[in-house]
Amino acid sequence: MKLKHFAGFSAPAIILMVGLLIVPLGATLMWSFQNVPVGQPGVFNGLANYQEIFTSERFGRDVAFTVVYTLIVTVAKVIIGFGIALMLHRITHGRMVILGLLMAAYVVPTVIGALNFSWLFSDIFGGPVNRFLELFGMHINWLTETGPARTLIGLHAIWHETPFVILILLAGLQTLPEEPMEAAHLDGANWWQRQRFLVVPMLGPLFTFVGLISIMDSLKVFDSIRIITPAAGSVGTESIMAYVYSVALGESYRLGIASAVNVVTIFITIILLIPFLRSTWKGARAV
Amino acid sequence: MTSITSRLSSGRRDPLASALVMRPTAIRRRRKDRIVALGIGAILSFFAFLSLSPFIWAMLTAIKPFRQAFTNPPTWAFTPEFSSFAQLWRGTEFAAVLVNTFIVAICSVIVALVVGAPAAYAFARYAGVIGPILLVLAVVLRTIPRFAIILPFYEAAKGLGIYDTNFALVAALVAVNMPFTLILLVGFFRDIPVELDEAAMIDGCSRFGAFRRVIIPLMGPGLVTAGVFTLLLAFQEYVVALTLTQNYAVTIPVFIAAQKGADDVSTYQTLAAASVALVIPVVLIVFFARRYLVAGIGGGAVKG
Repeated sequence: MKLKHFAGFSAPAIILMVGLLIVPLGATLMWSFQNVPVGQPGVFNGLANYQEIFTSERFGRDVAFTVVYTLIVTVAKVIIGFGIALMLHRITHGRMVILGLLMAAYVVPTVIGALNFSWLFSDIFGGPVNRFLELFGMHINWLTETGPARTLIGLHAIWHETPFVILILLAGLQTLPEEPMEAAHLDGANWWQRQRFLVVPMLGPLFTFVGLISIMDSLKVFDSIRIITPAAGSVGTESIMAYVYSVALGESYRLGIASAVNVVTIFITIILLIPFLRSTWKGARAV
Repeated sequence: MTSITSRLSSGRRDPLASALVMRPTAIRRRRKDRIVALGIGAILSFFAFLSLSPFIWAMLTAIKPFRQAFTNPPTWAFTPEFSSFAQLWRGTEFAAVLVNTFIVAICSVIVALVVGAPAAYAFARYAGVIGPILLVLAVVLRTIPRFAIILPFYEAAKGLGIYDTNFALVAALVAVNMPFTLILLVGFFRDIPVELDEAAMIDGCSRFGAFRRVIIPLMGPGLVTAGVFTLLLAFQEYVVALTLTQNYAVTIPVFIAAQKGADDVSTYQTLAAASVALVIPVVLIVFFARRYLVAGIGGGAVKG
């Protein structure tokens, strides 16, 4: 294809992406160095926004919560997802039916999923989770206490996003060659050893892929927190993006501070993305 | 030697061979295999049930009579009522919001496909450096926080007087979802052999003619997948709609969150009814279009 044709075919999309994505991003970058009250032009204030967020105790807490949440949820999703993918791979009858049922939690709008999920933990109409825990003499205030509320946000993420991990890893398992498995079996390797030394290394790139996606999504968690704990600030479940919303459009209208947080998040995301970007680059160059 | 053949034959690779050299040990092994598979099937069914339990609970809440819905411990024996669905339909804005959400989502999908398909074709075919650079840029744009784009949108929409309109919402949804649609489509276009373009052009088609007459018809399933996916994303988008709408252009996720925010027990049953009314079609779509969706999730899987 000639450059002339490339330009012709891609011009509308490029114009649209520059106008609707690059320009707003430029505004975010500019605002991060400004004091911007909503509805008024910003005033340049150097690195004051960055200085404020990096010294803010509240932002520090939010970052700590978000990072711990991201690590735990990602590890849990990969382990549970791999386990279920292995089980699905093992059966033949009903595999697609069960996969389809499991996908429901992933495809339903996050807001609705989070609402329905949190109801299982709510005492207002006898949520089954606390009824079950009562059998062991326990009762937990899932929606108002910091520890349980954080656990609940994490459980929701695992419920909502593990199906994606299952899907990707199952697709990977189905493409693995059978010969090395049989060779290992004949050589006396037991089931654990075959998983540990054959399957996991062969699926290596896919584990990296789902892990990266999970890390990037989890760092930006917002929808579920807003639904499950609307008073995230006082419950102790405020994530980085919940902080952005609160600062920019909730309790105050400080777009400069919010933009500085966004810029920092973009920076971290791009660093995490580097391995994925390299494979995208190689894939595109191979054409 | 016999032990090796019997062990190989139990590996389910070649049913004919295994039938011919079936030994008692192999028969026992097969029976064990089947029991293991049954056990795993039971565990998986239990997981599927757990995974669906929030929706089952919402369904029960929606059809319980009001008094019995809010008891602790829960009431299990009740006569189902459907008044919460009637209340949802007549007593709230649900129907209007649902229609609006579909209008907005479908408009954004049409724009994304009309603009995205030619660009994705160009990205998949052009051999220069600029294509890969733009594609890498699209991946980056796909993963940055929504708020980094939407806060400037919010200011601009207020300034231009288009805040809380469908127009602003469609523009923002196209912007936010375009990189995803593009990445997904590039993957599908790469699967179509270049020889088809070349053959069409040798037969007298222009570049655009080859694209329109040969490639687009072949892209049917790919366009459907990208379209369904972009529609699901647009339908469930919360951050964008929350920031850009207030009364008139509200979408389903914003409506649900606002009803929930009222935190009034009387709205819980209508909320449960709304959940059921939305979950059932989505689950049916996923169930019947799962092959398309598998391709989509695997192909362009960078969620925003």
